[in-house]
Amino acid sequence: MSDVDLIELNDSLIDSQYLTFIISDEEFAVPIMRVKEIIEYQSLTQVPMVPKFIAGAVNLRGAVVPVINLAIKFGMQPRPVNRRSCIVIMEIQLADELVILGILVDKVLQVFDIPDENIEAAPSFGAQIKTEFIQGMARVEEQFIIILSINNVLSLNEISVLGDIQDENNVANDKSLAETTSKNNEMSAS
Amino acid sequence: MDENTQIFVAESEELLEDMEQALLALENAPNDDDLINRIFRAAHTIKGSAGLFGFDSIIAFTHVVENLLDDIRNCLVPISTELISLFMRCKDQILLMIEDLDSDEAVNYPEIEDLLQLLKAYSASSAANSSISSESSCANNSVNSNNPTQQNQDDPNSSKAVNERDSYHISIRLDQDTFREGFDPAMMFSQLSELGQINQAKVVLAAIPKISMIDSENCHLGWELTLNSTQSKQQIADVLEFIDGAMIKILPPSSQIADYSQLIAELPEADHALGQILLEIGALTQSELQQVLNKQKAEGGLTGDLLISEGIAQPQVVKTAIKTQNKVRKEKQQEREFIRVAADKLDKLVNLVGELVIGGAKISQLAQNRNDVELEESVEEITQSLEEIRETALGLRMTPVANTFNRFHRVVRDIANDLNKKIRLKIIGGDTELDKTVVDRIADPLTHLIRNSMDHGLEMPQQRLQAGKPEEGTITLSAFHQTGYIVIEVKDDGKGLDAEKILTIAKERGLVSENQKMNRSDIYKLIFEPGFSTAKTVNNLSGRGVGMDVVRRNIEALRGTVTIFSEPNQGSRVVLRLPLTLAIIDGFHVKVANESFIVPLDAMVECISLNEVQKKDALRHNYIKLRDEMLPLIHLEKNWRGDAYDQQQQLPDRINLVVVQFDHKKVGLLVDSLHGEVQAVIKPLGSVFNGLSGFAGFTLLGSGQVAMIMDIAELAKSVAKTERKKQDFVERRSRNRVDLNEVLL
Repeated sequence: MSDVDLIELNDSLIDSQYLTFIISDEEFAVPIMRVKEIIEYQSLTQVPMVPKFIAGAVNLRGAVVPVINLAIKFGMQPRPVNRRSCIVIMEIQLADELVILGILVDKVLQVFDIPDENIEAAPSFGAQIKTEFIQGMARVEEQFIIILSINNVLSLNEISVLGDIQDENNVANDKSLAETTSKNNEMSAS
Repeated sequence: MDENTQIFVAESEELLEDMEQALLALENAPNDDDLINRIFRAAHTIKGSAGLFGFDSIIAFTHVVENLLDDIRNCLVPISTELISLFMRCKDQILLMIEDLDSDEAVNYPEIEDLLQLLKAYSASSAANSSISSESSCANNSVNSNNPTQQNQDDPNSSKAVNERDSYHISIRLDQDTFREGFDPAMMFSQLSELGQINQAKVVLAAIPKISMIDSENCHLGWELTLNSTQSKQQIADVLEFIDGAMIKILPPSSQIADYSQLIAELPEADHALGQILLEIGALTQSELQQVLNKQKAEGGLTGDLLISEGIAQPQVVKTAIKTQNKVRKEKQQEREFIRVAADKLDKLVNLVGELVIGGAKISQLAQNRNDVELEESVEEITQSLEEIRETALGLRMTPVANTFNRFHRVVRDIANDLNKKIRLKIIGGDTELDKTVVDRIADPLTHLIRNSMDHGLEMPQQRLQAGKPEEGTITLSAFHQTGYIVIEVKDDGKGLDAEKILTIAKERGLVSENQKMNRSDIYKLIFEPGFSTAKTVNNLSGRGVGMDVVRRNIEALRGTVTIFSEPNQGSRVVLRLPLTLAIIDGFHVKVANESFIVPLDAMVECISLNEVQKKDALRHNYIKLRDEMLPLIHLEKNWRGDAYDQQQQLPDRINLVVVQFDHKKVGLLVDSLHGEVQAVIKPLGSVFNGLSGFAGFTLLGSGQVAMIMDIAELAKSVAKTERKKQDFVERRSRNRVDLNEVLL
């Protein structure tokens, strides 16, 4: 086998590798190629007047990296920080520049191989989160893991702080958050 | 634009800058050969490098400029003010062409034809002069003037060889790295053939190593060639000058056998092989070659003295030659003391150093905890070095303001000519250093200020004499450091600002109300208002009424201030105060809701602790009384947290207030605690937080924690906006209630 073939093979091997983690008891996966590193949770600097799902900013060896709380973004009940909480540092293409972002996870599980044939298209309804956030559903040992379409979840439209609009968004977010929380509470109460 | 072109553009811009400086200096010292050579070199190097990239239009134009410069060098054309002005315009034209390189469209230059015609007119006059001028009339030619006498003396001895040696003999050995530097030897030949006819050329391949040792990127070429040319040796040398690292020897026509002998000794190849080549291209005859080789053998190759022993050159001449060689070498070395470095590399270095400093602080903390004295001492040493490294790294971005200041000589000269005024520009403190980005961004505001001074400030020579001032007006541009700031002053000795006139115009334009009483310095400030201009007619220099407004905004964007002082008939003085760098801000570390924030120190007025009355005020309204003045407050935590913040929350015993100032307005910020002054390296907000108003960026504290740097003016604006919205909402709701009541009734 020539070198070229080997490289291609390796590439496709890496392409089918995913990192899985848990956010609010739900298991998610992201392509490993997007993950730069995983750091232990450290206290975040909260940034005022931004949407709630922006958890804050962290110092990554001299660079200031924004950290996103996906639990809030997906409308799930965020879990308190525990000793297994981590920040997964990812590289995202935003507009035309590469941006380093962190996402807050409750627990990192493992890196494993999901062959393409084990991945099904996103269901049009039934999943907890917006369809466009789902790249596919991976079948792993009789259960499904959501593979996040990380570029859509963390696109500039979704996460950037846009001056004036932000205030209203903030209010809207608070409201929807309040609603979901109260709903959740009701459900758990009943 | 690719990387190489960028380098070309940057280098050419520098050369043109130098050319302009030399031209200006030439005006005062028209006979300075060094200056003429500097100008020539600049034009020549640009032409040469443009040739490498194939920028034909630049080559064509620069070539004509170069020709005329050469005539000047040979004293065929006298230097005059008009000529210098012409060269200035040519310099501008070349700059324009170079700057347009990155645009894809073909650009037309209407000026170029005009300039070429003028240049050619001068060249034509030189042709006429050349018949009259004798070589001895020009100091430049003193070296060449030795030749005829030598020729006369030696003619009888070498008569048989004269025919063959009518031409120059040139030996070229290229450096190994020639190809890597992007030089194409074919260029050299095409340029040489512009100077004359290449009769014979023989490639010297002796330097090529064994095939197993060959690195295909190395250059091992060399040539021996003869060139028929009427140009001077210097001109030929100039063509070959920019081949870096190459060994180049030029023997003028009618050179002595001894010269060839020396040549053979100096070239790296074996004497005999080389001799053969010289023989082949007809530089030497068989018998002459024998003579040379014999001599070489007999004297054991003591070539240095060969020249003298032959009585060709006097020891004095050799000594001066060596001296000039050393001088040239020294200049070369000085040039090499500067290295071009990409700005992002510097930024990365500064970032890394910042990390090192933080890491060092952590280690020093750990060492202290261990109570290990030796460890603590060595950590202390490292910390000191780190501090020094940090200072140095930050200093790398600093450049002297002279680079920008010197540009104004030209501005002043041109405008003074246009206005028929006599004006001298004095520069003080040009070596004061300042961050490169700041240096680049003050050029425009300074141009405005200087133009204003020249146009409005300085009087016509006649008026000046009447006022008992020297005919020539002076503009002084000075720079000096003052506690972390750089102060730049533009001062003129003109008529000063006319406060009456300014006030009248300001009233006309509605900038101040009719009955408003103002002191003089307040009136002067009016000229910074948008749309203010005292000039009755708009000319091309100033008077559009945007100048001073733009100046103020530019300077404020750099976190600086502008102040104006003026005395009637004594002149006026504009003082710019700017931070040394944009990368670092002097700040005050405060905490709000357990998060760290940096308040820019230049916005801070004072820190106070509230007394009981003020506390009550602060709780009830958003303002307090401070020394008989009303001070609006911004409750940062409440503002940021919105309704989540508990109104009833008990205020702590001690309430700290940071009083800040922007646009001459004072505001108090309620903060939890004060943590002292820090120097904060500013990190941009980045694309995620870009729309966030009220903050200038992030910074990292000594502990490694991220803190946000406040932008006070923006912060106040956004707070005002939110408050306004809230009030609107309350108002709307109250109206709705009324409506509802009406319906119910």
